[in-house]
Amino acid sequence: MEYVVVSFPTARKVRIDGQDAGFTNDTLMVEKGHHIFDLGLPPDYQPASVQRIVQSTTSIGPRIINDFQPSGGDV
Amino acid sequence: MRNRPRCLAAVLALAATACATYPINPRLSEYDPKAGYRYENLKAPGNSESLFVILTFSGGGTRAAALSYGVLEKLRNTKIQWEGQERRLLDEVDVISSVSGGSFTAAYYGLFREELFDPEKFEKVFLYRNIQGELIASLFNPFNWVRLASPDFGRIEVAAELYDREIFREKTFRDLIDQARRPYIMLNATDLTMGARFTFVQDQFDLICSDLGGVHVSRAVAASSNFPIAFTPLIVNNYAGSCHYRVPVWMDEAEKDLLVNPPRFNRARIARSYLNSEQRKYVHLLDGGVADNIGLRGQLLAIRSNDLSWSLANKINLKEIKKLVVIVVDARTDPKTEIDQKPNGPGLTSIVEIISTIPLGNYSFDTVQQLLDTFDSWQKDEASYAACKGILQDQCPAGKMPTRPPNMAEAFAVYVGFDQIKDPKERQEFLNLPTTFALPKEEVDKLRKIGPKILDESESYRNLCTELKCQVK
Repeated sequence: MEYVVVSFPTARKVRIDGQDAGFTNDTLMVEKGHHIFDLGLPPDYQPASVQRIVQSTTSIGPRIINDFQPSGGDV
Repeated sequence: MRNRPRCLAAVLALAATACATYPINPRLSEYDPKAGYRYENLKAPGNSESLFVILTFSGGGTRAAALSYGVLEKLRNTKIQWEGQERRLLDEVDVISSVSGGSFTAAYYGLFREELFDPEKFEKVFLYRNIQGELIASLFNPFNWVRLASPDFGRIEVAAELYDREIFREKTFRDLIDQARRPYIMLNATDLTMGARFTFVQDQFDLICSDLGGVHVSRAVAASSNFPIAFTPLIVNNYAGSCHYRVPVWMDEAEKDLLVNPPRFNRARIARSYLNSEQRKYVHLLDGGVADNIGLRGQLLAIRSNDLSWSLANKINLKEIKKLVVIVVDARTDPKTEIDQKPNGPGLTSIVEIISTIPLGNYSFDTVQQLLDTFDSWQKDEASYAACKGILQDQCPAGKMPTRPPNMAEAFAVYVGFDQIKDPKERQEFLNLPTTFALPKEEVDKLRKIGPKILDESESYRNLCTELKCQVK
């Protein structure tokens, strides 16, 4: 398995390829390959989604996705 | 005048031939990812998601059906404690994935539940019955000869009709949808053209724009146990392009994975092949054992991938599953052969039988290894994180790990196969059982008893039982 952390100031669901797949700031198990990550509804964050290749990660060295920010200012 | 009866018979025969066709699977008018036979639509009264139990039943005719039946009896008789509740281990089973002979037990339990254990029901209509003899008798019935002359009515249809009438009471997947209860029954066949697993669930039927609800369960079992050459392929019509199907995101992403994750790329390639209904107007199905004789590959995928609608990797990430149990019931045999006693090779029939069974058995070892490796890697990843955290705290007590530990489920892989029988004589006896739909009563009785015995002797099952405080009735 590969590991990914999607960072965000608050706890939100993380969607991988359109399906609920965990929570922000948790270390998530992800299958190796190309994936699209987003935070689902409400769409109060930017960017709407990011695409990443996930490979060569470990549980102590996960892929960090820190692109997502709340839209419209600080949380 | 004398020719009139002959003419009448000829006309009737022609009519029977002309009318004989396979039951056509219905079209899906509109794709709806929330409807149909899917894991997400099954409720689970008295079944927690946090203890997730998967059973896989292999092929092997009545031998496989009886072995898996014995395992279900054992789980029915085992009381456990989970989250402060007492229940039967059987009631915690979430998914049963099956192939060939194992599909008879899985489908019957899915449809009729506790009736499975009624001696007047499954045991009588299938387990202790000479179904093979009845199949042969049906194939030799002159009425069926006429029907079999039709290009749209193969030998597998005779088998499907027999199973429908005599075992599965003409039930359809609509009955399973209406029950809306776990376990999720996954009956696996093989797509002849792609050599790939074809599972009778709505996710699969979405690709061909067909409503699985209108398909008789007996057809899925017939396809799953459709031994090559003995029977003709079972046909499913492909209506892809007519139901506004939306390709899931993973399929587009996986197309970029040829050099990153080739098996994922291949899964998308196979799934896309159904979308071309001009090229693939019909799907031809063979025994599920051709693609995976232990019914475990699809479950492995659910454990390791985020792509499936009921992905277990996602459920673990979402903290829904605490313990994951996979019990593989494998009726693989190792029959003695005299082929290598003589210089001349076996005949065509033997060769066909060998190439359609022996390589599959070897492939099954690899499949089980993949399950063990997956669970082992989880443990190692968890241990690595804990070790790093320990070192950090030793060297820098105020330091914090930059990320949280991965959320893991405690995993138990249990294998039930004849190779585990300790007594060599008894082991050889089981390893030499034939693959047939007619076994003597004494052999079925022995098969029912050996599954529970192997479970009791399995270290992994004993560890699970210690944690669940198992009590056997």
